[in-house]
Parts: sequence; structure tokens; C-alpha cells
Amino acid sequence: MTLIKLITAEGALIEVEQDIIEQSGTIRNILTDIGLTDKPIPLPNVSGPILTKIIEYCMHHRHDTSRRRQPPSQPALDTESDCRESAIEEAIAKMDDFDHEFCRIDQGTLFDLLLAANFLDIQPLLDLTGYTVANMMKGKTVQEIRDTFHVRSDFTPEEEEQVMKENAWCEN
Amino acid sequence: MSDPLVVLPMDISILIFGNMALHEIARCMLVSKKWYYSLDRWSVLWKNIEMSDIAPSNSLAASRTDLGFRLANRTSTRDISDHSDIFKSRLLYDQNLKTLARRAGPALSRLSLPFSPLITDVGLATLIHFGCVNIRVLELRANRHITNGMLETLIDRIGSRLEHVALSTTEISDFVVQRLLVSAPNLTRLDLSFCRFITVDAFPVAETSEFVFSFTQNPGVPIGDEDGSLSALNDGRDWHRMFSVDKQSLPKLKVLLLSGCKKITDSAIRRIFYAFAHSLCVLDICHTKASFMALHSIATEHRRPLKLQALMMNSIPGHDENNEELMDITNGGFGLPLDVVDNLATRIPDLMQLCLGGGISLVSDDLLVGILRHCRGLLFIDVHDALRVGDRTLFALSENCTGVRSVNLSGCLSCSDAGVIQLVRNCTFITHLDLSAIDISDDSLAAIGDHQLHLKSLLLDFCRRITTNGIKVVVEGTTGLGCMFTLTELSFIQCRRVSDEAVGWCKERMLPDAVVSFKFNYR
Repeated sequence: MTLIKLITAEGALIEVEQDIIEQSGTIRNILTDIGLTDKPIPLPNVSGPILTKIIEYCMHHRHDTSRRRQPPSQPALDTESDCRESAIEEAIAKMDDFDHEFCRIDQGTLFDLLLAANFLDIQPLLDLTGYTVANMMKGKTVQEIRDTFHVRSDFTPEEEEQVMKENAWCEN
Repeated sequence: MSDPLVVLPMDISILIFGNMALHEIARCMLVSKKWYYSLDRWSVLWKNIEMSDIAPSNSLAASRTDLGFRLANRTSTRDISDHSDIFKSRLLYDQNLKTLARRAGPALSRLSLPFSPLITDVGLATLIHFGCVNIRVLELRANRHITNGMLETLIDRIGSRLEHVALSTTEISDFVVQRLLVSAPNLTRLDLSFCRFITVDAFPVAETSEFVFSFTQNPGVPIGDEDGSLSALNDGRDWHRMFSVDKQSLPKLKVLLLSGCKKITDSAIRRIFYAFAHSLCVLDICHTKASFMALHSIATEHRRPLKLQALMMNSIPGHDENNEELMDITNGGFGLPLDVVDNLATRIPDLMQLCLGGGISLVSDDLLVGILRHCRGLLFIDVHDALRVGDRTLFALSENCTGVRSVNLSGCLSCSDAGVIQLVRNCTFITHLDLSAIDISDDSLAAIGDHQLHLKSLLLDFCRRITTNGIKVVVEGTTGLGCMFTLTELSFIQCRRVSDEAVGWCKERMLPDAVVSFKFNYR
């Protein structure tokens, strides 16, 4: 098995098997572009701990082919499959215990993971982390969401009233 | 410190909020001004507007209207009030439509308003104003305010990508349907149920190489009942305007629902089959004025097999002494000749669903046996109140269509134990079985209890001969397992020989959410 050398943001060298790291679209593209190489690939915006975490994720999912990126196709318009709810359910169904455990990390790391998954183009990880962040907001009151993300409200009460009125139609 | 909208790039934030339902997003808009303006601007989050808690009617389930209607009648008043709460909270006004049209803009791909009585032309105009040209699913039901002129303009401007359109229970005219067929080449599903002003003129006349929409009499094709089908709704416009479309550019309509369109006649059905013969899968003409002429024209006028999978014709008129042509082809109101039936069945080999209920006098054993011989993939059959359907149909069903899922025989008074027993022995995938008012005895019930493995709903109303013991063997079986683990609905209203304690007995054994109906007390 070929080992690929990666250099993290701190300049550390990490070696990882080719088939594991090829779950990353970015790395896969680099390898197809320049061919297999002994030279290390620099990843200036991924830190060491995050890269370790991502490799841990990729190791776990190295064998499930269904997660590999499918060629983008026109989404089929079915009566049910198009709606948001089913997309969410699908995302939940795809997750296993490892995934849930994997995301029990602090907010900062989670956001870094999101950024790295985006940069490295690992769609399943991007979906997983995105879903985790969305889950942090679901079923919470506005104040709870503000507290979770340390956001301070800059609405005046009148403006807040106005927004509430504007969105009354889609409240449950 | 770690506001996701500050630290994360926009595309990731959109991905995160893409996981959330609309009302969650709306709540997030209250977090801060930055959140409000960001979410307001990201149109892709607002592309699916679906104001419904009621499951979208899938083509096959929707057709079981009569069963659905029965079930609806059964729900207790408490359930009804629950639904009205949903409606109240989900009603959209014009300014709401404006808000969402502004937010979604060209990203809007689905606008589904199953109950939209408050939307007017003003609201629809905002869809044009904000350039919502990529709508693929447009559903606007139960509305009396929208004018035909507005709808025509709307379809003209934003129609190019429409795929599913539902305008049921609105007062649209033929012009709107014409406009749809001309300007929406991708249309596959069209629901016009209970649009009472739709007439034959909504559908194009087949010329040699092109289809023509016209209001001028075409001598080649008879134009339906001349009972003033050009309704007063056409706003005094030019009656003689004509469109023509060549065959290729007419949309490949797959689903066409016209139930309750009282002005739809046989000539309309004939035009529909000419225009959409090679794509149409589902046709619902329940409660219209169409007659068996439609079946006759399928059998005689099309050489290639059709793609038809579901044909719903409940409660259409039966034989009519005044309709000479119909009397002629049906042997004087007796039924279609055997060779025509055979021809018909070979034209519709893919048929999965057949609804011929509602007491159509022309539905007979001969017809159904002929159809069932060829349509072996049948899953749903509804022939309720067909007095001339008896055991021969049931034998044919059990012999040819062993995979059948739903059988409605209520009111088929000629059926008896022999047929029912044969049916339930051979067809073990049945989930819904309606045997109301058939003269069956406990023997049939024992066969059901012993052979049915998937039965969810069993209706035995007005079956006078069945007894308490019969109900018990359905639930427990005699030698088999019985249906107690699958049944969610069991009804024996007005069965005089079933005693009161049977209800409690069933409740003890059946699933906790199962409904047992008895007398007129739905507890």
C-alpha cells in the first residue's frame, strides 16, 4: 500500500495510506494531476489535531463504498424525495454510532472540522458535521441559540416583533 | 465568539441551515441582525415551500377515494378539530407569499399550498415580480380568488419548468389548461380534480401532425355535450383563438386527475388518449360524465398497448337510454362484448389499479374476468356497489392476481362465501379488504383469519349473518395465527348477530392503536 505524505499547517509530516486519504476529493485530484509522488503534499489550512481526527474518520469509513462521492446527478424530482424532511432522515439513517461519538467535541473543533472537510472535499464528513451544527439549533428557543453560539442580539424589541410577524406563516 | 455565521464561510453556513425545517430557520432569524439578513438573503434555503402536514397524495393511495372518504367519516370529532388547528396555523396570506417569493426568487422550486383560500392575484403577481421562473411543483388548491387571466399570465411567464401542477378545487377555465399544455413542456402531473368548469375544450384536437386547441367546431372529431361547455368564465374573450402544437412539444403527461370535473365527457377522454396515449400512466375520471365509451375507445382506437397503470372511473354514469352510441356498443346496456373486453385488456397490460365502483350498471363478471385474465399485476381493485359482480370475478382474481393488495367489494351483493374463501386463500398479500354488505357467513371469516398475513383493514359492515364467533376467528384464527397483530381497523357496524362484548374482546387482543367500529359508536 502506498503511503502519502502530508504536511500540516504547523509543518508536521503525517503519513497515511493512499486509499484512506483518497476519500478526500482534493487529495484525489492532486494525486491524479501530478501522479503518485514521494513529495509531501502541503495542507496549509489544516492543523495537526484536525488532520488526525479526519484520518480517524476516514479510517473508519474506508470500506463503505456507498459513501464515496457519487458523480453529481440531477436530483430526481419525486413527490416525497424532494422535500427537506426526507433529506434529513436520509442523513440520520446514514450515521452510525461512530459518527455520533465522533461529533461529541467542542464547538471550536467542530467548526475547524467543517472547514477542513470543506477544504479537503470530504462530502460525508461535511454532511455529518453540518448536521451536527444544525442539531445544536433545532428545538431551541432563540435565546438558547444565542447562548449556544455566544451571539448578542442587536434587535430592538420593535424590530424583533416585526420579524416575528413576518415569519408567523411558517411557525408551527 | 464563535458565531457560525462569522467564522464559517457562506457556503458551509448554507449547508448547515439546509438541514433545518423552515420554521426552525424562521426562528433562527430572530437571533441577530446578521442572522436575519443572511438567512433572508440565502434563497436556496427557501426553495421548497410546503405548507402541509397532510401527506402528499401519492397516485395510488389517492385513488382509493371512496375508502378514504369512509375513513374520513369515521374519524371522531376530536380528530377533526386537530386538523383545523393545522389549517389555521398554516394559512398563507398574500403578504406571506410575497415574503417567500422575495426570499426564494429564482431558486424557488416547489410551492405547495394545499389549502390556500386566502391567496389572490396580488400574491401570485409577486411570483412573477421576483422572477420565480424555476418552479417545478406548483400546488394551489381550494382557492376561489385567483382569476383565470392571472393564472394564464403566471403560467406564461414561469411555466417553462413546471413538472407537477395541482389546481384542484379552483375555478379555472379551459384557457388555463390550454396555456399549461402549451407553455409547460415538462409537465408530467396535472391535478384538476373538482375544477367544475373544465370541459372538453381544455384538451387539444389531434390533427394529422399537430394538435390544435380550438373552439371552432372540427368536423372530424365530435365535440362533447353542447350544453354550453364554453362557460361564462372566459371573460368575454375571443372564442375563436387557436393554438397549435406539434406532437413532440406537447408535454408527456403521466398523471391526469380529473375526478369531480362534471363537464368532462367521453369526447374529452378520447382527446386525452390521443394526445397523451404514450405517456399517460394514471387517469382519474371518477364522478365525471365519461362513460364506457372511454373503455371502448381504448379497445378499438389504439393499436399499441398503452402505459396506463391506474384507471379510476368510480361513479361514472352507467347505461343511458338516450346515448344511442353507448347503447349500441354495449349490447343495449348489457356490457361490452367479449371480444372488445379482450382487446381492452391487451391494451392495458400494465394495469395496477382499477376502480369501477359506485354502482356502474355496466360493470359485470364478464368484463372483469376478461380484464383480469390479462392484467395480472393488479394491486388495487375497487368495484364497490357493482351488483352484477359475483363469485366469477373473485375466482378470476384469485387465479390471476395473487399479489393483489386492496380489494373493495362492498355492496357487491352477488358475491358469496365460495368466492370470498377462494380469494382469501389464494391472495395472501391483501392489506385492505372491504366486504361490507356482502352475504357472507363465519366460514369466510375463518378463512380470512387462517390465511391472511398482512391484513390491516377489514370492513364487515351490514354483514347480517356473521356472528361473534366469526369476529373471534378473524382475530385469533382457527388453525392459523389470526390477524390480531396486523389489523389496525376492524369494522362490523350493524351486524346484528355480533354481540356487544365482541368489541371489548377485540380491543383486548388487537394492537393498542387499532380502531374497532361497532354500531354507530366509534369508541
